[in-house]
Amino acid sequence: MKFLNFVLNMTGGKIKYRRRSRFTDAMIFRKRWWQHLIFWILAFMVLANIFKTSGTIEKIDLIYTGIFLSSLALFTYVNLYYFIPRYLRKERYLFYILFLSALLAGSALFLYLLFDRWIDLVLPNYYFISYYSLGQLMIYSGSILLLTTLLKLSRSWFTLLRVERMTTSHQLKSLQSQINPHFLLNSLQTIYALSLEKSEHTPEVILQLSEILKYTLYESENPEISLQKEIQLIKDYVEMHRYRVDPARADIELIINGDAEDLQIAPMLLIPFVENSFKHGLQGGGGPANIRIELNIKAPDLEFRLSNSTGTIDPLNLEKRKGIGIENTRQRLELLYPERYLLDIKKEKQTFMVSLKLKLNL
Amino acid sequence: MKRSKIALLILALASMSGCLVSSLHPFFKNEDKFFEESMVGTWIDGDSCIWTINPNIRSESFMGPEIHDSSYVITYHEDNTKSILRGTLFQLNEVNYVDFLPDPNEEHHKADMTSWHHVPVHTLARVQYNQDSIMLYWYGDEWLNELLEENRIRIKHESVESADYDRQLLTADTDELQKFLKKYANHPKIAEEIEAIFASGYTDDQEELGIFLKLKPYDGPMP
Repeated sequence: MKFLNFVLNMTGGKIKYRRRSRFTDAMIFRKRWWQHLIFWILAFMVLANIFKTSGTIEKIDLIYTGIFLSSLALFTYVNLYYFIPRYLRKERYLFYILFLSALLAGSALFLYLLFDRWIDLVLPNYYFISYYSLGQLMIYSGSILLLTTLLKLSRSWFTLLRVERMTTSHQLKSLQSQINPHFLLNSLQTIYALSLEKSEHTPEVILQLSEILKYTLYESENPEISLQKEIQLIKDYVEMHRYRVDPARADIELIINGDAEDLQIAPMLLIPFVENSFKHGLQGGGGPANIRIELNIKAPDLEFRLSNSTGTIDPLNLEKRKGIGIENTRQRLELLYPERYLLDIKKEKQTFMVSLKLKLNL
Repeated sequence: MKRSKIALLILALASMSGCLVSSLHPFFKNEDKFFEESMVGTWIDGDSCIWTINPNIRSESFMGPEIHDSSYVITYHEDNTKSILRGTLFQLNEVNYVDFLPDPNEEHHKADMTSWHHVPVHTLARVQYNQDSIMLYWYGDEWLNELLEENRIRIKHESVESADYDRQLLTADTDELQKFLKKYANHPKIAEEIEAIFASGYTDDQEELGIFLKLKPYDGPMP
């Protein structure tokens, strides 16, 4: 059962960036509604063959199968999107079994009454009866509910395997992909300059760099960390950069609204966006650079908004320089927060904007 | 009723030719059967054909005890010919029906070679009876065929085609047949027409629905 829950929660560590193959890029594997559509079409074909009333499948059999299956689909989605996340995923197994049994009985009763009574109100010119007993209907309903539950679990299991495979192969290269070596070099140069000036900020900057490295080395090993730590990393990162750039040349703004307490997030999920904004935002020519990072927290929702000026950099060049960080993050979001995130990246003439809405775990 | 219509009915009941709703499985279960003593006797229809209705009494073995299984042996006399049917009276949702089946004692059933090639089918009639009359209404297959062709009824069936006839044969089991009867016996399309026929007789407009027969007591000579 622990394994089941682990599979359902499927959180992973670092994900190796890798170009998606044509196979996995196919719409059927990426778009979940395609998978659902194919499942229901197959189920329809199988049931239409079972339900046929003569040697061939007649139109009336298709109508019956369609009504039968759409009614069953309602109960299936109650299980998939309400009972599984609310009870099975949270290890409330007894509640899950109880509610699933009630759902099973309810669906059989609904189908029985639908064809025994209600169908005449909807289709008065057609003649149907309830062809199956409550026990037989429970077998049909139970088969669909069991099959869809197993498909959901197996999908999660395959995703977990993919995450683990990526994590294993990526661990040795994690530092390389997560911390830009230029950042380390620039930070050391900043510290060197501060020390020459005998600046009182020198110990503070060294401490911030040390915190960032500590976080990268140790915290990022965990599947999830507290949102407070991820925010602290962003704060340290931003503060480090404040010492690197001339305040007259760059306007850096970090706004955090809401309480991050008790919320969990996959480590290093937001920093690639921040890193990208400093990498490109401070390199543009023209007027002063502008970087604005905003986090709005309303448990369990997190809204991350980022905008940075791109100066006179050619937008096409910007696209090329977007780097693996953002693509890596997009993949991780897809794997770790399926159907729980909304990522919108926009590039306007001299502004690069990122908006990420995420439903986190408590 | 025209004599040709009755002849067609008898032909339909005694063989497998079309015009009536026919089923491979009986329309009744044992618990639905009942026996009405007042139906036993000799009756005459509007075309002066004679019907004799007797309890079906048989023995399991030679010299064995006689058993009455609550069904009737119905003999139809027309001129010098006769047809024998097995009738079972049963009730569903307070509506009385008779399930008809060709009698296994008919001559052509006795011959082995013939019987091996013969599968009897059941037909169904609504019935009203009292001391003075028996009214029977056989469900015609025209309405059912229309529903099946228009894909408006879902019931297990097979299309039987041969050089002599094309017909739809119901293959649904008794449970399914009874569910349809219980649900749609009082359907306006069927019930009101039948009630009207039972109340005031048969008109040409209603002939397409089925076959109606009114029997009166007869005490004259047998053909």
